[in-house]
Amino acid sequence: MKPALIDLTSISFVIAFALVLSPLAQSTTLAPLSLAQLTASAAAVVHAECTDNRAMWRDGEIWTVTSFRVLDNWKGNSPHEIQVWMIGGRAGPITSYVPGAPRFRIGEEAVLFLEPAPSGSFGGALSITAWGEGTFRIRRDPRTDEMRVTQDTAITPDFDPSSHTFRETGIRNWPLAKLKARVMAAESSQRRMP
Amino acid sequence: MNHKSRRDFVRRWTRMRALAMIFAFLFQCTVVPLASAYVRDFTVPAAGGCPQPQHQNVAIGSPPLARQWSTSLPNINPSSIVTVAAQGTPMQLNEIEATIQQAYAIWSGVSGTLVNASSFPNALGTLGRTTTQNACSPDPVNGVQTGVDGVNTICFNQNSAAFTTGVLSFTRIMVADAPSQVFGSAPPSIFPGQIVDADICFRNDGQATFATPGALATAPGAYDLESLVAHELGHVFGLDHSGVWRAIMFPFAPSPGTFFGDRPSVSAPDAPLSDDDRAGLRSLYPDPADTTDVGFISGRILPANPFALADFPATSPGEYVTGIFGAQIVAVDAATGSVVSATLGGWTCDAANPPPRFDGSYTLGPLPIGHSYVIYAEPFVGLVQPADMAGAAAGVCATGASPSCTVPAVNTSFGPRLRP
Repeated sequence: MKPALIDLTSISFVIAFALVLSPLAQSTTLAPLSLAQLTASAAAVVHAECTDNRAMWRDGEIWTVTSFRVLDNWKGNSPHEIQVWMIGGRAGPITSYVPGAPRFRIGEEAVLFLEPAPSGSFGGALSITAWGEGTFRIRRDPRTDEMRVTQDTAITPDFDPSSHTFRETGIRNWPLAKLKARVMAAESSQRRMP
Repeated sequence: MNHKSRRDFVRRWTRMRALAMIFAFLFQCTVVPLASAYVRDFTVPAAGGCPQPQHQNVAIGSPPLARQWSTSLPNINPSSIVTVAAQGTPMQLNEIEATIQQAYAIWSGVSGTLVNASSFPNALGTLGRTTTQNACSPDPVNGVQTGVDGVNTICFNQNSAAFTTGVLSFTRIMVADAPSQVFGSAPPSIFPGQIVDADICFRNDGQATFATPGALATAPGAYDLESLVAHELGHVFGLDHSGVWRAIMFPFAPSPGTFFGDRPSVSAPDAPLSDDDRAGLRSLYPDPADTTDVGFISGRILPANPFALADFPATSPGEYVTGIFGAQIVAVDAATGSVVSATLGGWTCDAANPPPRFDGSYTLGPLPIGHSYVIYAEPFVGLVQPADMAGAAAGVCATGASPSCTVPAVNTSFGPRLRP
């Protein structure tokens, strides 16, 4: 019975912890977007692998240009290699750090919601829609080898004292195939709209 | 036991083992100020050595912290900044400036720090105004494109390609990795890890609206300007996102039409902050005269089975991961149950023998002395993800520095555990 006791203890602690917390909904830097909104806002949605990172000065800012190998196009028709610009990075002796701006390791796989950089900046280069909201990191389940995704800004189950229920926002630990199906469905329904 | 029940037992036993894998030990409380590993960002000095926490130069005797805001406001309808005062009037500028001053006062209201307004009234310079629209990203200086002017600036009307769909505001921090470095028109840096320039940009294209505290009730769709500025100022002072829900440095802010925590007051100027925010500021700017918030708790987070770390590659020649890296370590006041402090644990660095070792070490503090604390460790698998701490983790090692190291992946393969 010990395992059950530990589970109860853990769950009780989580509930007690949640009870003292006020519900929060928005990121400091981001407006909340649903998966359908993300899909509609993005010009392209890709499953890609990071292959390179480099930083450069442009318009008085340091930008990190991350190269990705596109493994699967979910929306749009991105080329095999794409470059994504995110503000911040290290150029020479100086580091520009922007909290919340996604960074990627070489070899890391992710699903990215992409849009052209605003105002035609950087010759139509790509940027990530809503930063962390449009970034879904992929990891493999060590037991099943299944690929699962978690949104950078996903929210843990949030206990609502008034309804005594847990609310969950964001996408955590979904099978990759499930996310793809939802994105494709959202894209398909948007196409059908007049 | 049939096959199914045996399988259930194995599954439950495996889960129990996973929960039991992690525990904090070498648990000790000391009043000796140690170099702490807080949720801050780090810079490895260009000359090599241990990572240094990023912070502003507000040492006693240093020039006041230079700060300003751009009075150039978005000229769109409806306005991006809702105020009680009429749009486009001097009173509107005064109201916005009062909000910025209040947000600064939240941080300078924290006792036991070098930025405390009562103890060090000259730590922060006068909040200046500039009419320049692009003051947060100035033009090249002497033909060199730096974006650094040494003045911490807040801009509401600066375009940036960083504003993709959904992005409301961000803080850009420029950090030196050696003393005597000169960038743009900023004064030479004094120490590695010094923030030489930190600017805040708010979205200005009408896709988001912000309201001063006085106007928030009449603008339910607007974000509370004071809460957002206060959060971004935490970044200006060098704090990264905290995993503590109540902290103003938590990566998520209140919904539109609401504000974070309590409004500041004369008796509680730092009211919106949590104890974790206060501890973070004290760790970066400790007041040497403070005798209250000088307690530290340190220890290591280790797996019960060291073979659980066998898959991690070497972090530097001959050095392997010997503890949990990337756990959030939380101190809870045993008497009140409130979360007092949290930190990103997992590494230590001997100044005489760098680079960092990823041995599960952590240090919590500074904490009020004379209290009892319960400590727990949890993985970053909840609302706060490893990516939220990417900056804090990435700065621990630097490419090009000698000796170099490689930051291991954040370890999330364990369950929350309490101690004692």
